[in-house]
Amino acid sequence: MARYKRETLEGKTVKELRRLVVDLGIPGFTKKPKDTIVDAIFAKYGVGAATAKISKVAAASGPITQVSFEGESILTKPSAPFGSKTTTTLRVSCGASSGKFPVTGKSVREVGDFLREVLNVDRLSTGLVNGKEVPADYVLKSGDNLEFLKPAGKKG
Amino acid sequence: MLEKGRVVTNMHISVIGLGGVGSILVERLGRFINFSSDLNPTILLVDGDTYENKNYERQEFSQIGNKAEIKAMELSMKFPQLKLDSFEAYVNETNLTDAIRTGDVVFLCVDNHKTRNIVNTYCKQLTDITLISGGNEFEDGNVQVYIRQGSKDLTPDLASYHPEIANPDDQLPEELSCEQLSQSEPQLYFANLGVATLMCWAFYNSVVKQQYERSEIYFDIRTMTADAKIRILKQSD
Repeated sequence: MARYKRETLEGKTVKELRRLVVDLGIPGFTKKPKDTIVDAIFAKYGVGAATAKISKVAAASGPITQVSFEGESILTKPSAPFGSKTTTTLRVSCGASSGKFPVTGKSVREVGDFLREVLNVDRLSTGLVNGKEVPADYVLKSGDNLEFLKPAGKKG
Repeated sequence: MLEKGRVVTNMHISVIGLGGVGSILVERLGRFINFSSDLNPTILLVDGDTYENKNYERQEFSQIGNKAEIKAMELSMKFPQLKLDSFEAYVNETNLTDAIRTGDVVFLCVDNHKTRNIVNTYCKQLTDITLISGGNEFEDGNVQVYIRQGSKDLTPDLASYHPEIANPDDQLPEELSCEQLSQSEPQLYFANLGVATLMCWAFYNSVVKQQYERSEIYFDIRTMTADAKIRILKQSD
């Protein structure tokens, strides 16, 4: 899969960028301003400083390699046969923070490690799947909704 | 939802803790109740703390003195329809029965989990209770709603999903030294305001509209987000 440096994207014309979002299967950006399109492409296919932190976490926690900060479903294989074009994402939350992530088939422990910095997940946090407490080795299925419990605020 | 034209006259509300959250909350709650045609409760304000000039940054008082006494006086002047009373003490295991009775609506606005634990444990023994508890860290916080009717829990209690409340590692205000009391962690006024606002929402939903499917809500000022959670009763609840 192609990866783009921010400078490379910024060097392209608006017309070229609009064509690129279509080719990459990123919907909803063909009429957006240049900066917005660059941000959208860079968030999903960028290389450099912004992705370094995520790559580091992913490497430490196994095979999860991509994350959608916007929490949207990702069209990962636009040329694939019908039914195989998208990657299924699950809603994962911790406190007020949430997002949709491609974590089907991963254990709660793996997801907690992977999203620790993104969602500010406490190391000792319990996982709830569809509202019920699950062990850390529970493997997430399609349709699951994972919440990492965040401690209650103490002050007032 | 309350029936139209039906005035609830025997409701009793306790507001425990009148610091950064409680002092903001009672002003909003007082205004709402003062102009409500359905609600005519007695409101008991509970706090053993004294308002001092150092509290001015985050707390809404017009003069120095016991917070419960001063705030009851201020509210009675501002909202003459309110029936107010004050209880000038920190709640503990021995005086809880003076502050909370079965059937009450309790706003728990304290700054420590040990008090939350004591109040929660006591409320679990009552036949009917609506307990709305809020707390914050510097830029985020949460509000929980515990409802019990006819000796049955309708929502999980405060400690059910929160081990830090079930097993608190802090102390009651009366157990702290003067030095410890004066060394409180910095707080953001907007975080207090966020908690107070969400507690008002929780009151409106659970008491006025009688809806309590989502019994916990978190907010985070940094990410400009709030998320309400559905909490399932556990087998042990």
